[in-house]
Amino acid sequence: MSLPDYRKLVIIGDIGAGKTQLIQTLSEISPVTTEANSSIDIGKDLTTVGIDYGRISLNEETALGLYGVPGQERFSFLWDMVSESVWGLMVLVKSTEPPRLDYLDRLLSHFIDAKEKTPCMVALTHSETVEHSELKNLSAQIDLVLHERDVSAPTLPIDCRSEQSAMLLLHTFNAMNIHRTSAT
Amino acid sequence: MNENPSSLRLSQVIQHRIESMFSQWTDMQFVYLSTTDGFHIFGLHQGAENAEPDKVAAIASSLFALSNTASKNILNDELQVSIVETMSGNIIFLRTHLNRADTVLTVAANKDMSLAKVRYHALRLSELIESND
Repeated sequence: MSLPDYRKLVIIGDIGAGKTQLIQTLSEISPVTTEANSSIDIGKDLTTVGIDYGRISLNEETALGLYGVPGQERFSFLWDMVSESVWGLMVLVKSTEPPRLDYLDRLLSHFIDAKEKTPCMVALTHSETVEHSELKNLSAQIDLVLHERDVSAPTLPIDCRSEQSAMLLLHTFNAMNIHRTSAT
Repeated sequence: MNENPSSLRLSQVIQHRIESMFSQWTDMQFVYLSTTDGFHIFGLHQGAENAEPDKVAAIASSLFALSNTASKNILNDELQVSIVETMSGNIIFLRTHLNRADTVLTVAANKDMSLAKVRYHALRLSELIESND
């Protein structure tokens, strides 16, 4: 029996965007989490300071390693550690806060290989309590940044606690990759 | 949002005692104290210009969290010390407490100071930091 093809999905986003929760929801193994007590007021007790890791099989031939990295700039050395051979990048944006578009641009420039056209997706988290019109406005602002970077990426709402919602995004990602592979 | 853990400060007395000890250890490159979520609290260095305090604080928190995850998953116990050995020196990441909060003490020395000695000095510094409570 051959081993499944192993690929790397990087999940990144600002504090409290839902990275750790998303990996916990998706992973079929007990996830590795690296949280520490927060020493400043970030609206929650724990914050990720290392790499969160989980794994999920997309099918019999393909398994995904889920790598969650802290979004804060001071941890950018971790971004370098995971940015090689990225199969896909998922950026989590907290939809209850004004978007930090310059920060999104920095993440895209760090992780997206323009030549390889690394598949990317922007997931709007905590969107359950946000008005539809606000979500639409947020998506439009994000689309502008993506367009400027020449990145073709869908922007979709996600409930990180819901397996169904998270799986829908993963399957969208997989479809994007199949399309990209067949196009080259 | 508060960007600094301002409640975590070493008293002047403790700082002076650490400075006094550190000045006697010529083979020690730096002593940095940081929060477990990667903020610099206090530090001294001699020579090690590359060791920027904020960068060391972030690296220390990540390494400490990963090592702690390993020790919990493999040995079912909390991490106390993580050691990095190189041909040119050693670094010790030690769990310590400042005002009852978990913190990480990072101590680096060149190869002329034995690992045992670095560890011993780190423990003495840790005791001093914990007496700040």
